[in-house]
Amino acid sequence: MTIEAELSGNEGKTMEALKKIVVGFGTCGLAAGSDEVYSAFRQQLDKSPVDVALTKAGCGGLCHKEVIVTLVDGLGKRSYANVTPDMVPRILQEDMIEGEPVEEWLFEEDPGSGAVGIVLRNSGEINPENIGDFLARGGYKALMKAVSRMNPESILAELESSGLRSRDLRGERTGEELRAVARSRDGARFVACDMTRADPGPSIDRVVAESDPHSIIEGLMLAAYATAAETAFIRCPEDYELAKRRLRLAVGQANERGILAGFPPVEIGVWTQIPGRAGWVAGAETVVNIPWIIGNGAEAFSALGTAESKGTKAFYVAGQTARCGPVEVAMGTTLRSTIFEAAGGMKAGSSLKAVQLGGPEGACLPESLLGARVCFESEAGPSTAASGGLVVADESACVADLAKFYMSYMEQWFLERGGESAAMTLIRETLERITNGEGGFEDLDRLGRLAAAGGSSSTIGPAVNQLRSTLRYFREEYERHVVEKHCPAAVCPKLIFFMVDEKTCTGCGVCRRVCEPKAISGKKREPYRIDQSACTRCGECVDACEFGAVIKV
Amino acid sequence: MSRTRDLMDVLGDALKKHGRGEEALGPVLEEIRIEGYTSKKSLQQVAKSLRLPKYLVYRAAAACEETKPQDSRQVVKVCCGTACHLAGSGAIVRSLGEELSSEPASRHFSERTLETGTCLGCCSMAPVVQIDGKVHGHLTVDTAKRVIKQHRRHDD
Repeated sequence: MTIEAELSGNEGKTMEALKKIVVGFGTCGLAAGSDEVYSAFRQQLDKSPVDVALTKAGCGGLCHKEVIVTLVDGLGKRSYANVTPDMVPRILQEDMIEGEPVEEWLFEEDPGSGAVGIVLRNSGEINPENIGDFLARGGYKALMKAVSRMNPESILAELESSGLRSRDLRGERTGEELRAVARSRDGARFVACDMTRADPGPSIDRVVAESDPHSIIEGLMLAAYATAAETAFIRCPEDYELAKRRLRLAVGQANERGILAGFPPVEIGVWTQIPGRAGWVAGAETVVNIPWIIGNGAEAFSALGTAESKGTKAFYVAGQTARCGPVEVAMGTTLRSTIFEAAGGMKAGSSLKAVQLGGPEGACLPESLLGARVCFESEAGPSTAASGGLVVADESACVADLAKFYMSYMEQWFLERGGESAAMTLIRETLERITNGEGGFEDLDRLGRLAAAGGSSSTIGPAVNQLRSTLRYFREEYERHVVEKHCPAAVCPKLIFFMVDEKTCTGCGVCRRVCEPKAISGKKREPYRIDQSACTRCGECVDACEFGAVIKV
Repeated sequence: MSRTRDLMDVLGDALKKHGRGEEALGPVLEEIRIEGYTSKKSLQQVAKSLRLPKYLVYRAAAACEETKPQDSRQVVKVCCGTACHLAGSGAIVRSLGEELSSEPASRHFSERTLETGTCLGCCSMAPVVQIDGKVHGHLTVDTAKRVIKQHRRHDD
C-alpha cells in the first residue's frame, strides 16, 4: 500500500477506545510492512467483529522491533515485536479474544527507553493522523494558555529563562533570537521550521514530524504569537513524504477545529525565497521544545541539563547498536551512557570503533571520547548537542571511506545550491587517492591544510568538521592507507586482498567459475588460489563461496 | 520524431565537440535527444562510445526531463544514508548498476532506473533498497539481486 492509500484509509479512530490494537506506523514500521499487518487485522476484524479499535501510532523508539503491535485492554498494555501478517490471527484469537497473550512473541519494553520525554513525548503514544489523540494528551494546551493568559512579552521571557538553545551548530538562544525578530521594525516577519540539513544520515526531525506533527505546529504558532509574525513555514526535504503528508493533515485538522484561527497560515513544502527579511528559523527538535516549556514552565525545563545547555537532546541512533531508533537523554549525559544505556549498547559481537554525529558538519569521535557529555560546551564539541543522528560504527567501518562518502555528498550539496564546490572537489579527490592506495604523506598534509582552511572559510565553514575530526582522532588509520597501502577495515576495494583459506576450502571450484578476470586457479578437491595481480577485488568469490573460505583482509 | 542523421554520425560529432568521460555525458545525451534518439539501444551505444558503465548513462537520461522514462513505475532506489553506507550500500549500488544495465531491452530503455538517495528513515534494516515504494532490508549484494529478480517475475 502506498502512503496515499494509507492516509485515505485512515479510520480516524482515536486511541481512547477501551480495547485497542495499535500498529506502529512510522517510516520504520511502514518499511517493515506495517501496512500489511494493519490490513491483516482489518480483514480479521471484518470477518469476526470484536469490539476493539484498530489504530496507528508513530515511531515508539524501537525501530529494530518493527512491526510493533501493542494491545491495550483490561489486562493492561503489552507489545508484540516483529509482527508479520501470518501472526495476526493468533494474536487476535488467543490474546484479544481468549485473554491469553502469545508469550513467545511478546517483548518487554526496556525501561531505559523514553526515560526523559520532552521532544519525544508523543512519539509512539498517539496516532499522528488523529488530532483527538494529541488533544487527549494535552496538545494545544500551551497555545491556549499563551493566548488566553500570556502576552508575547511573557512568552519571550519564559523562553529566555528556560535557556532553550537551537539544536544546531549555532546553538543560538531561542528566546533571544525570537526577541530580536519581535523587535525588528521590518513589517514582513516570519517564523519557520526547517528540517533540511546537510546530512545524508538519519534525522530526529523526521521522526518528530512523522510521529508528532501537531507539536511542530503548536511550537511554530507560539513563536508566531511571540513575534507577531505574519507568515509561518515548515520546510521539509523533498523525500520526507510521510512527514509532509502528516503535517498537512495535522494543519487541516487543527484548522477544522478552529485552533489556528487568528494565527498566520502554515505553509508546508519547499521554499526557495524567504518571504520576509526578519524571521526566525529552527529545526523541528527546537520547535517542539517550545510548547513543552510554555506548558510546564521554564523552571521544569532548566532543571534538566548543564550550565550552558538546558533540557534534553534527542538522537536517531543507528548503526551497530543493539537498539535502533530515536532516543532522548538529558543534556549533560555522557555519550557512553547515551549509547550503552539509552540505546542498549552494541550488537552482539560488535565493538565500538567510532561515533558519527550528524553528517559532514558533525564529528567522528573515537572510543576514548565516550566520556564526553552531550551539550553545547561538550569536550567533544557542540555537534553532540546539534546533530539529529548518531551512527555507531564498529571495526568494519573505514573512517577514510566515511570521510570520502561525506565529501562527495557535500560536493553535490554545494553544486545543487549553486555554491562554490572547488574546495570540496579537491578534498574528495585527495581522499580518493588515499583510499585507492595512490596517496602519500603529502596528501595527508594537504588534507590537514584543506580541513583547517575550510573550517575558517565562510563558503565551506562547518562542512569539513567531520573530516577534521577523523584526521585528528583516526590519523593512524589514514597512515596505514598511505604507508602500508592497506585498509584495516577491509572496506576500500583497492586496498584489500582476497585469499582462500586452505583449511576451509573444499575445492568445489565455484569461486573459479564466478571469477570474471580468471584470477582463481586450482584443481577440484584441492584448495584454490587467487592470483593477486589479476584479481580486480570485485568480491564475487566471497559471495559465491558457501563455506566462507574466501576471506577479505 | 524524424531522424535525419544516423546515430553513429551524431555520436561522432558529439564526441568531437564534448570529448569522452563523465562530464561529456550530459551534453552528448542532449545532442542525441535533439536528433530523436532516446531508445535504450541508443543509450547503450552512448555508453560504449563514452566508455562509461551503462547504468550511469541510464541514470543521467532518467534525470533529464525530456528523456525521462515514460514508464517510471520501476524505480530501484538504493539508500545511501550513513547507516546504509556503513552497512555496504556502495557495493549494492555498483552491482545493481551492472545488473540493471545488462537487462534485455524492453519497451522503454528505463524499465528500471537505478537511483541513490539519502536516509530513508529505516536504519534498523540497513542496507535497504526501495523498489516501487516497497522497502527491502538487511540486504547483501546477492540478496539485492534476488529481490530485483523477484520483482521482475511479479511484473510478467
